[in-house]
Amino acid sequence: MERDNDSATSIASVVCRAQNGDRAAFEQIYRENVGRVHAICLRLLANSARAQELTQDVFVRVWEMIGSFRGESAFSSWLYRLAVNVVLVDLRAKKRRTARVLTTDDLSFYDKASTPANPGNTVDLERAIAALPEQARTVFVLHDIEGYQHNEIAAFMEVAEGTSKAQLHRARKLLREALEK
Amino acid sequence: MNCDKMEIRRHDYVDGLLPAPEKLAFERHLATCSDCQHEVEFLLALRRQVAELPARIEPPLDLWPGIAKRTAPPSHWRQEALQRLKTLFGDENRVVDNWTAWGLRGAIAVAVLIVTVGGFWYLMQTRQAAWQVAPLAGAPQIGSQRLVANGQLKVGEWLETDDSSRAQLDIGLIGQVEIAPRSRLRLVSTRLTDHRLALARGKLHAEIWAPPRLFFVETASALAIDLGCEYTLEMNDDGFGLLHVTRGYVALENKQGPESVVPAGAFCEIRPGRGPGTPYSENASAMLRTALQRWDLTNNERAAIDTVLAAVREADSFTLWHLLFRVPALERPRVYDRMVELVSPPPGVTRDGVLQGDKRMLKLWADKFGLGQSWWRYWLPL
Repeated sequence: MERDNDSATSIASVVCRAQNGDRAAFEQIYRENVGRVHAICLRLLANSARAQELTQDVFVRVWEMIGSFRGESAFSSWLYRLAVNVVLVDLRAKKRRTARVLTTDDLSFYDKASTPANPGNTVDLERAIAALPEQARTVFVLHDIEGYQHNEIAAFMEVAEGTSKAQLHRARKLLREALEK
Repeated sequence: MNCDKMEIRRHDYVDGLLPAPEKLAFERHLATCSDCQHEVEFLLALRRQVAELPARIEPPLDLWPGIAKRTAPPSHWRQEALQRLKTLFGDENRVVDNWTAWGLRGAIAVAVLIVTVGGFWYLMQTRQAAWQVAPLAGAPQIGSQRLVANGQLKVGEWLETDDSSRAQLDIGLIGQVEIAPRSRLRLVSTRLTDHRLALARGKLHAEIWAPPRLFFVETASALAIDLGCEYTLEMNDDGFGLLHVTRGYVALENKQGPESVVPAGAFCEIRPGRGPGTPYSENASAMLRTALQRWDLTNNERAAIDTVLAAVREADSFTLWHLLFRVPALERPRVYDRMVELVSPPPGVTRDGVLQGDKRMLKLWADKFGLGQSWWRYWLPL
Protein backbone atom coordinates (compact mmCIF):
# COMPACT_ATOMS: atom_id res chain seq x y z
CA MET A 1 0.00 0.00 0.00
CA GLU A 2 2.85 2.33 0.91
CA ARG A 3 4.48 1.53 -2.40
CA ASP A 4 1.19 2.32 -4.23
CA ASN A 5 1.01 5.67 -2.49
CA ASP A 6 4.63 6.39 -3.39
CA SER A 7 3.94 5.41 -6.96
CA ALA A 8 0.80 7.60 -7.13
CA THR A 9 2.73 10.51 -5.62
CA SER A 10 5.53 9.99 -8.07
CA ILE A 11 3.12 9.89 -11.08
CA ALA A 12 1.32 12.99 -9.80
CA SER A 13 4.64 14.77 -9.48
CA VAL A 14 5.74 13.80 -13.01
CA VAL A 15 2.38 14.86 -14.44
CA CYS A 16 2.55 18.15 -12.56
CA ARG A 17 6.03 18.84 -13.93
CA ALA A 18 4.85 18.01 -17.46
CA GLN A 19 1.88 20.36 -16.99
CA ASN A 20 4.42 23.08 -16.25
CA GLY A 21 6.24 22.42 -19.50
CA ASP A 22 8.96 20.07 -18.24
CA ARG A 23 9.85 18.06 -21.33
CA ALA A 24 11.92 15.53 -19.38
CA ALA A 25 8.82 14.70 -17.34
CA PHE A 26 6.81 14.39 -20.55
CA GLU A 27 9.40 12.01 -21.95
CA GLN A 28 9.12 9.95 -18.76
CA ILE A 29 5.35 9.77 -19.26
CA TYR A 30 5.98 8.61 -22.81
CA ARG A 31 8.52 5.95 -21.79
CA GLU A 32 6.27 4.55 -19.07
CA ASN A 33 3.10 4.40 -21.20
CA VAL A 34 4.12 3.93 -24.80
CA GLY A 35 3.74 0.12 -24.64
CA ARG A 36 0.17 0.32 -23.36
CA VAL A 37 -0.83 3.08 -25.77
CA HIS A 38 0.74 1.29 -28.72
CA ALA A 39 -1.04 -1.94 -27.74
CA ILE A 40 -4.39 -0.12 -27.74
CA CYS A 41 -3.69 1.49 -31.12
CA LEU A 42 -2.39 -1.71 -32.69
CA ARG A 43 -5.31 -3.84 -31.53
CA LEU A 44 -7.92 -1.31 -32.56
CA LEU A 45 -6.36 -0.59 -35.95
CA ALA A 46 -4.85 -4.00 -36.79
CA ASN A 47 -2.26 -2.12 -38.76
CA SER A 48 1.26 -1.77 -37.45
CA ALA A 49 2.34 1.31 -39.41
CA ARG A 50 -0.85 3.21 -38.64
CA ALA A 51 -0.64 2.17 -34.99
CA GLN A 52 2.79 3.76 -34.73
CA GLU A 53 1.57 6.96 -36.36
CA LEU A 54 -1.40 7.21 -34.05
CA THR A 55 0.70 6.38 -30.99
CA GLN A 56 2.71 9.47 -31.89
CA ASP A 57 -0.50 11.45 -32.35
CA VAL A 58 -1.74 10.33 -28.95
CA PHE A 59 1.34 11.63 -27.18
CA VAL A 60 1.25 14.88 -29.12
CA ARG A 61 -2.35 15.26 -27.93
CA VAL A 62 -1.26 14.42 -24.40
CA TRP A 63 1.28 17.25 -24.54
CA GLU A 64 -1.37 19.64 -25.86
CA MET A 65 -4.03 18.61 -23.37
CA ILE A 66 -2.14 17.69 -20.25
CA GLY A 67 -3.02 21.06 -18.76
CA SER A 68 -6.66 20.00 -18.73
CA PHE A 69 -5.95 16.92 -16.60
CA ARG A 70 -7.37 17.75 -13.16
CA GLY A 71 -6.74 14.44 -11.40
CA GLU A 72 -10.41 13.39 -11.18
CA SER A 73 -9.37 9.96 -12.44
CA ALA A 74 -6.07 8.10 -12.53
CA PHE A 75 -3.70 9.67 -15.05
CA SER A 76 -3.33 6.33 -16.84
CA SER A 77 -7.13 6.06 -17.29
CA TRP A 78 -7.20 9.60 -18.70
CA LEU A 79 -4.33 8.79 -21.04
CA TYR A 80 -5.74 5.48 -22.34
CA ARG A 81 -9.18 7.02 -22.82
CA LEU A 82 -7.52 9.76 -24.85
CA ALA A 83 -5.75 7.09 -26.91
CA VAL A 84 -9.03 5.29 -27.62
CA ASN A 85 -10.62 8.58 -28.66
CA VAL A 86 -7.77 9.48 -30.99
CA VAL A 87 -7.99 6.09 -32.70
CA LEU A 88 -11.79 6.09 -33.00
CA VAL A 89 -11.87 9.62 -34.38
CA ASP A 90 -9.24 8.63 -36.91
CA LEU A 91 -11.14 5.48 -37.86
CA ARG A 92 -14.31 7.46 -38.37
CA ALA A 93 -12.63 10.18 -40.40
CA LYS A 94 -10.57 7.91 -42.60
CA LYS A 95 -12.87 4.92 -42.75
CA ARG A 96 -13.98 5.57 -46.28
CA ARG A 97 -10.61 6.52 -47.63
CA THR A 98 -8.26 3.88 -46.30
CA ALA A 99 -7.90 0.22 -47.02
CA ARG A 100 -10.26 -1.83 -44.97
CA VAL A 101 -8.53 -5.13 -45.47
CA LEU A 102 -5.45 -6.12 -43.55
CA THR A 103 -2.17 -6.93 -45.12
CA THR A 104 -0.42 -9.99 -43.86
CA ASP A 105 2.54 -7.81 -42.83
CA ASP A 106 0.40 -6.30 -40.12
CA LEU A 107 -0.49 -9.66 -38.64
CA SER A 108 3.11 -10.78 -38.52
CA PHE A 109 3.76 -8.04 -36.01
CA TYR A 110 2.14 -10.21 -33.35
CA ASP A 111 4.80 -12.88 -33.80
CA LYS A 112 7.23 -10.54 -32.10
CA ALA A 113 4.78 -9.20 -29.57
CA SER A 114 3.58 -12.44 -28.00
CA THR A 115 4.21 -13.38 -24.41
CA PRO A 116 6.73 -16.13 -23.92
CA ALA A 117 4.50 -18.06 -21.48
CA ASN A 118 1.94 -19.21 -24.05
CA PRO A 119 3.17 -17.95 -27.36
CA GLY A 120 1.11 -20.09 -29.76
CA ASN A 121 -2.30 -19.34 -28.27
CA THR A 122 -1.53 -15.67 -27.81
CA VAL A 123 -0.41 -15.20 -31.38
CA ASP A 124 -3.41 -17.12 -32.71
CA LEU A 125 -5.75 -15.02 -30.64
CA GLU A 126 -4.08 -11.73 -31.61
CA ARG A 127 -4.28 -12.71 -35.26
CA ALA A 128 -7.91 -13.73 -34.94
CA ILE A 129 -8.75 -10.44 -33.23
CA ALA A 130 -6.93 -8.50 -35.93
CA ALA A 131 -8.92 -10.28 -38.61
CA LEU A 132 -12.30 -9.37 -37.09
CA PRO A 133 -14.51 -6.85 -38.91
CA GLU A 134 -13.66 -3.33 -37.75
CA GLN A 135 -16.68 -2.64 -35.57
CA ALA A 136 -16.68 -6.06 -33.92
CA ARG A 137 -12.93 -5.77 -33.30
CA THR A 138 -13.30 -2.32 -31.79
CA VAL A 139 -15.97 -3.44 -29.35
CA PHE A 140 -14.12 -6.63 -28.45
CA VAL A 141 -10.85 -4.79 -27.77
CA LEU A 142 -12.57 -2.10 -25.72
CA HIS A 143 -14.77 -4.48 -23.72
CA ASP A 144 -12.88 -7.72 -23.30
CA ILE A 145 -9.30 -6.42 -23.37
CA GLU A 146 -9.50 -2.84 -22.13
CA GLY A 147 -12.40 -3.43 -19.75
CA TYR A 148 -14.74 -0.63 -20.80
CA GLN A 149 -18.49 -1.03 -20.17
CA HIS A 150 -21.03 -1.07 -22.98
CA ASN A 151 -22.37 2.37 -22.09
CA GLU A 152 -18.85 3.81 -22.35
CA ILE A 153 -18.20 2.00 -25.64
CA ALA A 154 -21.52 3.19 -27.02
CA ALA A 155 -20.51 6.77 -26.19
CA PHE A 156 -17.05 6.33 -27.72
CA MET A 157 -18.42 4.87 -30.93
CA GLU A 158 -21.58 6.97 -31.17
CA VAL A 159 -23.75 3.86 -31.38
CA ALA A 160 -26.54 2.42 -29.23
CA GLU A 161 -25.60 0.29 -26.25
CA GLY A 162 -27.42 -2.65 -27.84
CA THR A 163 -25.22 -2.31 -30.91
CA SER A 164 -22.14 -2.55 -28.73
CA LYS A 165 -23.45 -5.76 -27.14
CA ALA A 166 -24.44 -7.24 -30.48
CA GLN A 167 -21.02 -6.51 -31.93
CA LEU A 168 -19.31 -8.07 -28.92
CA HIS A 169 -21.33 -11.26 -29.29
CA ARG A 170 -20.57 -11.30 -32.99
CA ALA A 171 -16.86 -10.84 -32.33
CA ARG A 172 -16.76 -13.71 -29.85
CA LYS A 173 -18.64 -15.95 -32.26
CA LEU A 174 -16.24 -15.13 -35.08
CA LEU A 175 -13.28 -15.70 -32.77
CA ARG A 176 -14.63 -19.11 -31.88
CA GLU A 177 -14.88 -20.01 -35.55
CA ALA A 178 -11.37 -18.71 -36.22
CA LEU A 179 -9.74 -20.38 -33.23
CA GLU A 180 -11.42 -23.74 -33.80
CA LYS A 181 -10.28 -23.96 -37.43
CA MET B 1 -35.70 -23.36 -22.48
CA ASN B 2 -34.97 -22.79 -26.13
CA CYS B 3 -31.20 -22.61 -26.59
CA ASP B 4 -31.44 -20.54 -29.77
CA LYS B 5 -32.76 -17.77 -27.58
CA MET B 6 -30.13 -18.23 -24.89
CA GLU B 7 -27.18 -16.72 -26.72
CA ILE B 8 -27.54 -13.28 -25.19
CA ARG B 9 -27.95 -14.77 -21.73
CA ARG B 10 -24.82 -16.89 -22.11
CA HIS B 11 -22.80 -13.76 -22.85
CA ASP B 12 -24.52 -11.76 -20.12
CA TYR B 13 -23.91 -14.61 -17.67
CA VAL B 14 -20.19 -14.72 -18.42
CA ASP B 15 -20.02 -10.92 -18.32
CA GLY B 16 -21.79 -10.84 -14.94
CA LEU B 17 -24.67 -8.79 -16.35
CA LEU B 18 -27.57 -11.07 -15.36
CA PRO B 19 -29.67 -9.98 -12.38
CA ALA B 20 -29.73 -12.55 -9.55
CA PRO B 21 -33.08 -14.22 -10.42
CA GLU B 22 -32.18 -14.59 -14.10
CA LYS B 23 -28.73 -15.80 -13.16
CA LEU B 24 -30.21 -18.56 -11.00
CA ALA B 25 -32.65 -19.56 -13.72
CA PHE B 26 -29.86 -19.65 -16.26
CA GLU B 27 -27.66 -21.74 -13.98
CA ARG B 28 -30.50 -24.23 -13.59
CA HIS B 29 -30.76 -24.42 -17.36
CA LEU B 30 -26.99 -24.66 -17.72
CA ALA B 31 -26.85 -27.71 -15.49
CA THR B 32 -28.98 -29.63 -17.99
CA CYS B 33 -27.97 -28.18 -21.35
CA SER B 34 -24.77 -29.42 -22.95
CA ASP B 35 -24.92 -26.82 -25.77
CA CYS B 36 -24.94 -23.98 -23.31
CA GLN B 37 -22.26 -25.67 -21.21
CA HIS B 38 -19.94 -25.86 -24.22
CA GLU B 39 -20.65 -22.28 -25.18
CA VAL B 40 -20.06 -20.97 -21.67
CA GLU B 41 -16.89 -23.02 -21.39
CA PHE B 42 -15.62 -21.45 -24.59
CA LEU B 43 -16.48 -17.94 -23.40
CA LEU B 44 -14.68 -18.54 -20.11
CA ALA B 45 -11.67 -20.04 -21.90
CA LEU B 46 -11.61 -17.04 -24.22
CA ARG B 47 -11.65 -14.73 -21.23
CA ARG B 48 -8.67 -16.61 -19.74
CA GLN B 49 -6.81 -16.36 -23.04
CA VAL B 50 -7.55 -12.65 -23.31
CA ALA B 51 -6.22 -12.16 -19.79
CA GLU B 52 -2.93 -13.66 -20.94
CA LEU B 53 -2.50 -11.17 -23.78
CA PRO B 54 0.33 -8.75 -23.12
CA ALA B 55 -0.88 -5.43 -21.78
CA ARG B 56 2.05 -3.66 -23.40
CA ILE B 57 3.27 -4.03 -26.95
CA GLU B 58 6.31 -1.88 -27.53
CA PRO B 59 6.48 -0.26 -30.97
CA PRO B 60 9.29 -1.60 -33.14
CA LEU B 61 10.90 1.86 -33.29
CA ASP B 62 11.44 4.51 -30.66
CA LEU B 63 8.70 7.04 -31.44
CA TRP B 64 10.04 9.66 -29.05
CA PRO B 65 12.21 11.59 -31.56
CA GLY B 66 9.14 12.22 -33.75
CA ILE B 67 7.01 13.21 -30.78
CA ALA B 68 9.73 15.46 -29.39
CA LYS B 69 9.99 17.19 -32.75
CA ARG B 70 6.24 17.71 -33.06
CA THR B 71 5.92 19.07 -29.55
CA ALA B 72 9.04 21.25 -29.63
CA PRO B 73 8.42 24.87 -28.59
CA PRO B 74 8.02 27.36 -31.49
CA SER B 75 11.23 29.22 -30.67
CA HIS B 76 13.14 26.03 -31.06
CA TRP B 77 11.38 25.40 -34.35
CA ARG B 78 12.30 28.88 -35.56
CA GLN B 79 15.93 28.36 -34.68
CA GLU B 80 15.95 25.13 -36.65
CA ALA B 81 14.35 26.91 -39.61
CA LEU B 82 16.94 29.66 -39.47
CA GLN B 83 19.70 27.11 -39.34
CA ARG B 84 18.32 25.41 -42.42
CA LEU B 85 18.09 28.72 -44.27
CA LYS B 86 21.67 29.47 -43.36
CA THR B 87 22.68 26.12 -44.78
CA LEU B 88 20.80 26.90 -47.97
CA PHE B 89 21.78 30.55 -48.50
CA GLY B 90 25.12 30.82 -46.76
CA ASP B 91 25.92 32.32 -43.43
CA GLU B 92 25.14 35.97 -44.15
CA ASN B 93 22.81 36.91 -41.35
CA ARG B 94 21.50 39.97 -43.12
CA VAL B 95 20.31 38.01 -46.16
CA VAL B 96 18.87 35.25 -44.00
CA ASP B 97 17.07 37.65 -41.69
CA ASN B 98 15.57 39.66 -44.55
CA TRP B 99 14.51 36.52 -46.28
CA THR B 100 13.09 35.16 -43.05
CA ALA B 101 11.21 38.40 -42.36
CA TRP B 102 9.60 38.41 -45.79
CA GLY B 103 9.04 34.68 -45.65
CA LEU B 104 7.35 35.00 -42.30
CA ARG B 105 5.14 37.83 -43.54
CA GLY B 106 4.17 35.76 -46.56
CA ALA B 107 3.52 32.69 -44.40
CA ILE B 108 1.38 34.73 -42.01
CA ALA B 109 -0.62 36.17 -44.92
CA VAL B 110 -1.21 32.69 -46.36
CA ALA B 111 -2.12 31.34 -42.93
CA VAL B 112 -4.63 34.16 -42.36
CA LEU B 113 -6.16 33.49 -45.76
CA ILE B 114 -6.42 29.74 -45.10
CA VAL B 115 -7.90 30.29 -41.64
CA THR B 116 -10.41 32.82 -43.00
CA VAL B 117 -11.55 30.68 -45.91
CA GLY B 118 -11.49 27.47 -43.85
CA GLY B 119 -13.33 29.11 -40.98
CA PHE B 120 -15.99 30.50 -43.31
CA TRP B 121 -16.46 27.10 -44.91
CA TYR B 122 -16.60 25.36 -41.54
CA LEU B 123 -19.11 27.87 -40.22
CA MET B 124 -21.28 27.43 -43.27
CA GLN B 125 -21.15 23.67 -42.80
CA THR B 126 -21.95 23.69 -39.11
CA ARG B 127 -24.70 26.23 -39.58
CA GLN B 128 -26.30 23.74 -41.90
CA ALA B 129 -26.64 21.05 -39.22
CA ALA B 130 -30.17 20.88 -40.55
CA TRP B 131 -30.67 20.58 -44.31
CA GLN B 132 -32.99 22.84 -46.23
CA VAL B 133 -36.01 21.09 -47.72
CA ALA B 134 -38.13 22.54 -50.48
CA PRO B 135 -41.41 20.89 -51.50
CA LEU B 136 -41.45 20.39 -55.28
CA ALA B 137 -44.99 18.98 -55.39
CA GLY B 138 -47.69 18.19 -52.86
CA ALA B 139 -46.87 18.37 -49.16
CA PRO B 140 -43.97 16.17 -48.05
CA GLN B 141 -43.87 15.39 -44.36
CA ILE B 142 -41.09 15.90 -41.83
CA GLY B 143 -41.92 13.78 -38.81
CA SER B 144 -45.62 14.38 -38.34
CA GLN B 145 -45.62 17.88 -39.86
CA ARG B 146 -46.68 18.50 -43.41
CA LEU B 147 -44.40 20.82 -45.33
CA VAL B 148 -46.17 23.46 -47.37
CA ALA B 149 -43.25 25.90 -47.60
CA ASN B 150 -39.47 25.55 -47.28
CA GLY B 151 -38.40 23.82 -44.08
CA GLN B 152 -35.51 22.12 -42.37
CA LEU B 153 -34.66 18.47 -41.89
CA LYS B 154 -32.68 17.98 -38.70
CA VAL B 155 -30.39 15.08 -37.84
CA GLY B 156 -32.51 12.09 -36.82
CA GLU B 157 -35.68 13.37 -38.49
CA TRP B 158 -37.59 11.47 -41.17
CA LEU B 159 -38.74 12.97 -44.45
CA GLU B 160 -41.60 11.19 -46.19
CA THR B 161 -43.32 11.77 -49.50
CA ASP B 162 -46.70 10.33 -50.47
CA ASP B 163 -48.04 9.38 -53.90
CA SER B 164 -48.24 12.98 -55.07
CA SER B 165 -45.42 14.79 -53.26
CA ARG B 166 -41.79 15.37 -54.10
CA ALA B 167 -39.07 17.32 -52.28
CA GLN B 168 -35.61 18.76 -52.81
CA LEU B 169 -32.90 18.62 -50.15
CA ASP B 170 -29.85 20.87 -50.07
CA ILE B 171 -26.97 18.78 -48.72
CA GLY B 172 -25.07 21.47 -46.86
CA LEU B 173 -22.99 23.13 -49.55
CA ILE B 174 -22.02 19.99 -51.40
CA GLY B 175 -25.01 19.04 -53.49
CA GLN B 176 -28.72 18.45 -53.90
CA VAL B 177 -30.99 15.46 -53.63
CA GLU B 178 -34.42 15.17 -55.18
CA ILE B 179 -36.82 12.85 -53.40
CA ALA B 180 -39.41 11.05 -55.53
CA PRO B 181 -42.99 10.22 -54.44
CA ARG B 182 -43.53 7.30 -52.00
CA SER B 183 -40.11 7.71 -50.37
CA ARG B 184 -39.02 7.69 -46.76
CA LEU B 185 -35.57 8.75 -45.59
CA ARG B 186 -33.78 10.02 -42.52
CA LEU B 187 -30.95 12.50 -42.06
CA VAL B 188 -28.29 10.50 -40.21
CA SER B 189 -25.46 13.01 -39.94
CA THR B 190 -24.22 16.24 -41.39
CA ARG B 191 -20.61 16.79 -40.55
CA LEU B 192 -17.70 18.23 -42.41
CA THR B 193 -16.57 14.84 -43.67
CA ASP B 194 -19.78 12.87 -43.44
CA HIS B 195 -23.11 13.89 -44.99
CA ARG B 196 -25.33 10.88 -44.57
CA LEU B 197 -28.90 9.86 -45.37
CA ALA B 198 -30.69 6.60 -44.69
CA LEU B 199 -33.11 5.62 -47.45
CA ALA B 200 -35.74 3.27 -46.02
CA ARG B 201 -37.72 3.10 -49.28
CA GLY B 202 -38.43 5.04 -52.43
CA LYS B 203 -36.21 6.85 -54.88
CA LEU B 204 -33.71 9.69 -54.73
CA HIS B 205 -31.68 11.45 -57.35
CA ALA B 206 -28.42 12.91 -56.02
CA GLU B 207 -26.18 15.47 -57.64
CA ILE B 208 -22.96 16.05 -55.74
CA TRP B 209 -20.27 18.55 -56.56
CA ALA B 210 -17.98 17.97 -53.58
CA PRO B 211 -14.83 15.82 -53.50
CA PRO B 212 -15.46 12.06 -53.32
CA ARG B 213 -16.50 10.25 -50.14
CA LEU B 214 -18.34 13.05 -48.40
CA PHE B 215 -21.89 11.95 -49.17
CA PHE B 216 -23.30 8.58 -48.15
CA VAL B 217 -26.69 6.92 -48.45
CA GLU B 218 -27.38 4.00 -46.14
CA THR B 219 -29.89 1.40 -47.25
CA ALA B 220 -30.98 -1.88 -45.71
CA SER B 221 -28.68 -3.83 -48.02
CA ALA B 222 -25.77 -1.60 -49.00
CA LEU B 223 -24.07 1.72 -48.44
CA ALA B 224 -23.81 4.08 -51.44
CA ILE B 225 -20.68 6.21 -51.37
CA ASP B 226 -20.49 9.20 -53.64
CA LEU B 227 -17.25 9.37 -55.64
CA GLY B 228 -18.08 12.69 -57.30
CA CYS B 229 -21.19 12.06 -59.31
CA GLU B 230 -24.86 12.10 -60.16
CA TYR B 231 -27.01 9.06 -59.63
CA THR B 232 -30.46 7.63 -58.92
CA LEU B 233 -30.99 5.12 -56.15
CA GLU B 234 -34.23 3.27 -55.63
CA MET B 235 -35.02 0.86 -52.79
CA ASN B 236 -38.13 -1.10 -51.88
CA ASP B 237 -39.34 -2.12 -48.41
CA ASP B 238 -37.74 -5.55 -48.71
CA GLY B 239 -34.20 -4.24 -49.22
CA PHE B 240 -34.06 -4.76 -53.00
CA GLY B 241 -32.75 -1.80 -54.92
CA LEU B 242 -31.25 -0.43 -58.11
CA LEU B 243 -28.51 2.13 -58.58
CA HIS B 244 -28.15 4.01 -61.85
CA VAL B 245 -25.13 6.26 -62.21
CA THR B 246 -25.34 9.05 -64.77
CA ARG B 247 -22.10 10.90 -64.03
CA GLY B 248 -18.85 9.99 -62.23
CA TYR B 249 -18.73 6.93 -59.99
CA VAL B 250 -20.58 5.51 -56.99
CA ALA B 251 -19.19 2.81 -54.71
CA LEU B 252 -21.63 0.33 -53.21
CA GLU B 253 -20.54 -1.75 -50.29
CA ASN B 254 -21.87 -3.88 -47.54
CA LYS B 255 -20.12 -5.52 -44.64
CA GLN B 256 -19.66 -8.98 -46.05
CA GLY B 257 -19.27 -8.91 -49.79
CA PRO B 258 -16.98 -7.24 -52.28
CA GLU B 259 -17.51 -3.60 -53.10
CA SER B 260 -18.93 -2.56 -56.46
CA VAL B 261 -17.71 0.62 -58.10
CA VAL B 262 -20.35 1.69 -60.58
CA PRO B 263 -19.31 4.06 -63.37
CA ALA B 264 -21.47 6.50 -65.32
CA GLY B 265 -23.88 4.75 -67.66
CA ALA B 266 -24.12 1.64 -65.51
CA PHE B 267 -26.63 -0.08 -63.23
CA CYS B 268 -26.05 -2.12 -60.12
CA GLU B 269 -28.71 -4.22 -58.44
CA ILE B 270 -28.85 -4.49 -54.68
CA ARG B 271 -30.24 -7.51 -52.84
CA PRO B 272 -30.97 -8.13 -49.18
CA GLY B 273 -28.38 -10.37 -47.56
CA ARG B 274 -26.14 -10.19 -50.63
CA GLY B 275 -25.50 -6.49 -50.99
CA PRO B 276 -24.42 -4.99 -54.29
CA GLY B 277 -24.46 -7.22 -57.35
CA THR B 278 -22.14 -7.15 -60.35
CA PRO B 279 -22.61 -3.82 -62.15
CA TYR B 280 -23.46 -3.72 -65.82
CA SER B 281 -23.69 -1.18 -68.60
CA GLU B 282 -27.09 0.40 -69.32
CA ASN B 283 -26.64 -0.98 -72.87
CA ALA B 284 -25.87 -4.52 -71.71
CA SER B 285 -27.82 -7.22 -73.53
CA ALA B 286 -30.75 -8.93 -71.86
CA MET B 287 -28.77 -12.18 -72.00
CA LEU B 288 -25.89 -10.63 -70.05
CA ARG B 289 -28.18 -9.07 -67.45
CA THR B 290 -30.04 -12.33 -66.88
CA ALA B 291 -26.81 -14.31 -66.57
CA LEU B 292 -25.38 -11.79 -64.09
CA GLN B 293 -28.55 -11.94 -62.02
CA ARG B 294 -28.28 -15.73 -61.94
CA TRP B 295 -24.66 -15.51 -60.89
CA ASP B 296 -25.30 -12.87 -58.22
CA LEU B 297 -28.10 -14.97 -56.75
CA THR B 298 -26.28 -18.29 -56.69
CA ASN B 299 -22.55 -17.47 -56.81
CA ASN B 300 -21.89 -21.03 -57.93
CA GLU B 301 -23.53 -21.52 -61.32
CA ARG B 302 -20.82 -22.22 -63.84
CA ALA B 303 -23.28 -21.99 -66.73
CA ALA B 304 -24.04 -18.40 -65.74
CA ILE B 305 -20.35 -17.52 -66.13
CA ASP B 306 -20.32 -19.24 -69.54
CA THR B 307 -23.21 -17.06 -70.65
CA VAL B 308 -21.63 -13.90 -69.25
CA LEU B 309 -18.36 -14.60 -71.08
CA ALA B 310 -20.25 -15.20 -74.32
CA ALA B 311 -22.42 -12.10 -73.99
CA VAL B 312 -19.90 -9.42 -72.95
CA ARG B 313 -18.64 -6.75 -75.34
CA GLU B 314 -15.84 -4.23 -74.93
CA ALA B 315 -18.19 -1.80 -73.16
CA ASP B 316 -18.90 -4.52 -70.56
CA SER B 317 -15.26 -5.09 -69.63
CA PHE B 318 -15.70 -3.36 -66.25
CA THR B 319 -18.35 -6.02 -65.51
CA LEU B 320 -15.72 -8.72 -66.07
CA TRP B 321 -13.33 -6.79 -63.83
CA HIS B 322 -15.88 -6.97 -61.02
CA LEU B 323 -16.62 -10.61 -61.76
CA LEU B 324 -12.94 -11.43 -61.44
CA PHE B 325 -13.21 -10.74 -57.72
CA ARG B 326 -16.37 -12.72 -57.26
CA VAL B 327 -15.77 -16.01 -59.06
CA PRO B 328 -13.89 -18.93 -57.44
CA ALA B 329 -10.12 -19.09 -58.08
CA LEU B 330 -10.54 -21.85 -60.67
CA GLU B 331 -12.77 -19.66 -62.84
CA ARG B 332 -10.56 -16.57 -62.71
CA PRO B 333 -8.22 -17.48 -65.59
CA ARG B 334 -10.99 -17.69 -68.17
CA VAL B 335 -12.67 -14.52 -66.89
CA TYR B 336 -9.33 -12.73 -67.08
CA ASP B 337 -8.58 -14.15 -70.55
CA ARG B 338 -11.93 -12.94 -71.85
CA MET B 339 -11.30 -9.51 -70.36
CA VAL B 340 -7.96 -9.11 -72.16
CA GLU B 341 -9.60 -10.22 -75.40
CA LEU B 342 -11.82 -7.16 -75.06
CA VAL B 343 -9.38 -4.66 -73.52
CA SER B 344 -5.61 -4.61 -73.84
CA PRO B 345 -3.93 -4.88 -70.44
CA PRO B 346 -2.05 -1.87 -69.09
CA PRO B 347 1.74 -1.91 -69.61
CA GLY B 348 3.65 -3.81 -66.94
CA VAL B 349 0.87 -6.29 -66.27
CA THR B 350 1.15 -10.05 -66.80
CA ARG B 351 -1.54 -12.72 -66.68
CA ASP B 352 0.26 -14.76 -64.02
CA GLY B 353 0.89 -11.67 -61.94
CA VAL B 354 -2.78 -10.70 -61.92
CA LEU B 355 -3.97 -14.23 -61.19
CA GLN B 356 -1.51 -14.46 -58.32
CA GLY B 357 -2.92 -11.24 -56.91
CA ASP B 358 0.03 -8.94 -57.56
CA LYS B 359 -1.20 -5.75 -55.92
CA ARG B 360 0.72 -3.40 -58.21
CA MET B 361 -0.77 -5.04 -61.29
CA LEU B 362 -4.28 -5.05 -59.85
CA LYS B 363 -3.84 -1.36 -59.11
CA LEU B 364 -2.77 -0.72 -62.72
CA TRP B 365 -5.91 -2.49 -63.97
CA ALA B 366 -8.11 -0.58 -61.53
CA ASP B 367 -6.53 2.66 -62.73
CA LYS B 368 -7.18 1.67 -66.34
CA PHE B 369 -10.89 1.36 -65.55
CA GLY B 370 -10.69 4.60 -63.58
CA LEU B 371 -11.77 2.73 -60.43
CA GLY B 372 -8.71 3.34 -58.25
CA GLN B 373 -9.15 3.24 -54.49
CA SER B 374 -8.47 0.08 -52.58
CA TRP B 375 -11.54 -1.96 -53.29
CA TRP B 376 -9.68 -4.60 -55.30
CA ARG B 377 -7.92 -5.68 -52.12
CA TYR B 378 -11.00 -7.71 -51.31
CA TRP B 379 -9.67 -10.29 -53.65
CA LEU B 380 -7.52 -12.67 -51.69
CA PRO B 381 -5.97 -14.94 -54.31
CA LEU B 382 -5.40 -18.58 -53.46
